Amino acid sequence: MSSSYERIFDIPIGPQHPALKEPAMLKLKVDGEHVVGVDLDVSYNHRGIEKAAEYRTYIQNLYLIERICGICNVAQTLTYCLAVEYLHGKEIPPRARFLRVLAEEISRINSHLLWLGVAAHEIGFDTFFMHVWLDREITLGLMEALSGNRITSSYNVIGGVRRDVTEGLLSTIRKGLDELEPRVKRYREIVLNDRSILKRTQGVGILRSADAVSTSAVGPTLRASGIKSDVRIDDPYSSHDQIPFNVITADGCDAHSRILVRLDEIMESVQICRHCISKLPAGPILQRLPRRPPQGEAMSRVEAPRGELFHYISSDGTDKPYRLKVSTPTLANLPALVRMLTSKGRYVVNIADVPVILASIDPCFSCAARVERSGGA
Amino acid sequence: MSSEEAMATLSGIEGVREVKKISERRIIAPCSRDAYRRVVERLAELGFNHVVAITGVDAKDGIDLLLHLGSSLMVTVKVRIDPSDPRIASISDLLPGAEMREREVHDLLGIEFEGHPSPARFMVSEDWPAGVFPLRKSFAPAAPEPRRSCQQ
Repeated sequence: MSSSYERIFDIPIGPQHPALKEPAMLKLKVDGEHVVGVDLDVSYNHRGIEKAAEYRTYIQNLYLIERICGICNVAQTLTYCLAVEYLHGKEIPPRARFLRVLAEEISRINSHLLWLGVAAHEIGFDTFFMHVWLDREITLGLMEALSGNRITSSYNVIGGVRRDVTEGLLSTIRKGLDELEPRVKRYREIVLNDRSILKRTQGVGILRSADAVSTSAVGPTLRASGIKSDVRIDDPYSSHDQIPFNVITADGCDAHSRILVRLDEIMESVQICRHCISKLPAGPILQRLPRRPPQGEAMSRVEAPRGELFHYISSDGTDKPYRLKVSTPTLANLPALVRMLTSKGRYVVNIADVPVILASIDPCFSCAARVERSGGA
Repeated sequence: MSSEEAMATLSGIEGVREVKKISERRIIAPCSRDAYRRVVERLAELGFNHVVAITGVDAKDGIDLLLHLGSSLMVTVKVRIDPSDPRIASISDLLPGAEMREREVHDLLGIEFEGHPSPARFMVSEDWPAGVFPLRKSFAPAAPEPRRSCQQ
């Protein structure tokens, strides 16, 4: 256009709650209604958890790490415990490994249902949001029955788990899963058939398979672009190599596929929980380990609800870690998010689609900048 | 690719020394700063194109930069950087997944990534003083004030 006016405008979205109740700033460059560029700023939340970890003992750190993210607290402590156990060179008892899987999968169902509610809210379908969050209460109840807490469970400890299960508790969990399963099936039908959901999500936030791989996307975001990659299969930990399950993928590469992948993953998690309950080995739940791990380096990763979660610990033989690095799935998905938010060729991004696209990667900016979040409880 | 094959290939690259297997699916390959970009290029050709994380560690006699690559077998490329000249080649053009991770390491440890496409501040807030890198061991956070003094 040969006018003296600027054609490209900057529109800031955030830093107060751009989509989720968390601070992040998106500086959009728009040409009319179309987003042509985006600059992300996630610096509003940095509180230095990695630095704080260097001043605390391994046991104290367990509770610090748990507070990085309310929703993925089970995955965070699991990754940390795996790294510390590797430094000690010790295996934990089989019963504890199965219980860790059980807790992990319950928290995955919880996280995916929470996200589904948020996604429905972004679309403007608040009734769906209320229904989903009511059913999410079932998983919170199961987590409370298992660990004693609804959100911050403190279930994993270095060397095993904190609490054993009884037969009565296992049947409570089984009943909860039986109650949940038909609800999730119903939600899947709604997502597949409701016109307002289809219109707001199909063809929105496209991430092609090649881009998903090149930007190192992780978790459901990657799998919704048709890539079969899951840490539970690729780099098995706990007892995942003994538990049969399918890696869910979808090839729509859009926000709608991301909803379907997460809903199908809930169904897989229900099956994994049932398998854990029926095949739960007998034995101790804790292997006691010394307070000071030997000198060395450890790297562990876990498939958190949002994707690959990575911890690196460098130990100098004292009771405090020399360096603890946490790499969370949201940070890994940010380059992919930038691709999704940029119009290119025939793919156009409207400003009104930005909240849906942002929500579709299930972002947790507090995780990315590493600080406590409230956890939506 | 099995870990033995990966170790053999890595050992053959110039500038890589003492490749170490620390567990079933973890390999550490220390290399020199000049060889870093070449090693990453070679690894990307071999299919190690998934960036898991980039870690910076302030070891007392230098800064270690660790690049973790790979989705099943994880190779960690380890480079020692002199803190008086903290520069290294950026690999964001080879592996776009590294872009924000390099910005993070720059903000927290003060490593300059040469050739980075957008080296703006990312992880620390805009009012954070320039040239102060929180994850350096020389940076000691102030202890919080006690809520109540003992004399009261």
